[in-house]
Amino acid sequence: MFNFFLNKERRVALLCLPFFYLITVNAEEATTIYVQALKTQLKSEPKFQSTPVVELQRGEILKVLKRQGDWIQVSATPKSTGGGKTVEGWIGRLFVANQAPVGALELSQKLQNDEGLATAARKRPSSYSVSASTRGLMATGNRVREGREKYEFDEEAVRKLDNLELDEKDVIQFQESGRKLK
Amino acid sequence: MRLVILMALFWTGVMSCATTGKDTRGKQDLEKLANITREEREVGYAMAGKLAGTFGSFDSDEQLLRYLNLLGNSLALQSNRPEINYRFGILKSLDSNAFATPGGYVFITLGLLKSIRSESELAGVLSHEIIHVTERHMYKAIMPQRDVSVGESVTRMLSRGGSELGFNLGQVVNAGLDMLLEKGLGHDKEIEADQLGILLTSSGGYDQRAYYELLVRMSQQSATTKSLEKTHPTFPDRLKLVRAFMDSNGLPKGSSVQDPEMIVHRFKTATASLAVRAKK
Repeated sequence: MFNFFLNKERRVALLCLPFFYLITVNAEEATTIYVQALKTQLKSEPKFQSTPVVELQRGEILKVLKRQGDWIQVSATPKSTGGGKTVEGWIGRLFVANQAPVGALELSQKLQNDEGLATAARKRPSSYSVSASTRGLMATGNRVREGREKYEFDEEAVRKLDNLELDEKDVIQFQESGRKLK
Repeated sequence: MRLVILMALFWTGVMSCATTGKDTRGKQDLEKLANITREEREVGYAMAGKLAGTFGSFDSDEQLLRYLNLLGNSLALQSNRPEINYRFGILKSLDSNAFATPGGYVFITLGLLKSIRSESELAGVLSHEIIHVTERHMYKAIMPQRDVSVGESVTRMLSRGGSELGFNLGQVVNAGLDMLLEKGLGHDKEIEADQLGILLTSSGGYDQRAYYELLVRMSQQSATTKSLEKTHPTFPDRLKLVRAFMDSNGLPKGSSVQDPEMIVHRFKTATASLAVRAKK
């Protein structure tokens, strides 16, 4: 049996196989994209005002078939069809990204954990507001003030903006009132 | 025999990498996203403070500020960067202009806000600025170009990357402000923001023709658009390219339709103090 491995070409071929496998896996990954828009439509043609094929939601996985300008032809198995049914259509590149969607709150919590801020301000889970202190930006003002000043710096104004409380449910309610998302 | 054992070990390693690869990649993606977002936010925070310091921040009307942030964030919900924590502010400048910094701080001037007649028009302006953020137009231009070697990448990966702001933040921030106020982001970036902004506005359920109409009106108000014209393509060029883009997307032509009654009402209520100020 071991004679099989003695042939040099066979040994090289066997050693190379894993690389081919990994290359194939990676190539497949690069053609997968994720819907980032909260809700959007898969269109029948690469233009906005074309017949919608199906509604897509944030997080749905799409397989790229072709790219054309600002539009990407994809295949998908959307939740809105009850699953199990694969459809094809076009989606604008401004609604998708290469990685699974991560919300601002989720990411800011990750940043807080990274920075080990045990005393991070407790916020309601649906709140968009993340204060400057919890993001570790307090030092920014000092760093920016260093050196000769060309522009004035008003940290209080930007902190006031940061501290504005916005509930995600209020934003969604605002978005859905009186209009239809496309 | 030794070779067979080596190959068996090698294969086991490869297979375990392949099976856990997706999770590892997911974590690396999140790590990378967190680092970039943190850098953008730090630069944006400083730029926002300097814009507010230069022009003055108009933040006394809390109802208006809340309305602006609800509208801006509702549009951003449709964008491809949900990880950004967007904030929308107003600058005390009578020139018509709007600015976006990396990391999601967006400002509109009091002058432009006063000349806007509907929520659809305002949605068009905010969408244009959101695209500057999502496409990282400024961030890509002002961040120092770093040639990253393989060794460096591995070191960063192992160190689970803290902020990579290993440069003079003040210099980068001033370069960004020079770009916003003097040099411009580049005509191609402005056209891209106009065009993708139209799709974002439409996706939010607004009539994108309102944005076109606002640009037409602004093109006739040269007294208040000087600073904007210095940093943007000419209005005739923008209008021509916006029209062509709307055509290529099969979007309707002609005059915009009025927003639904409820939206007209909330726009008027939120901007009531501006109407009073304009009359004075």
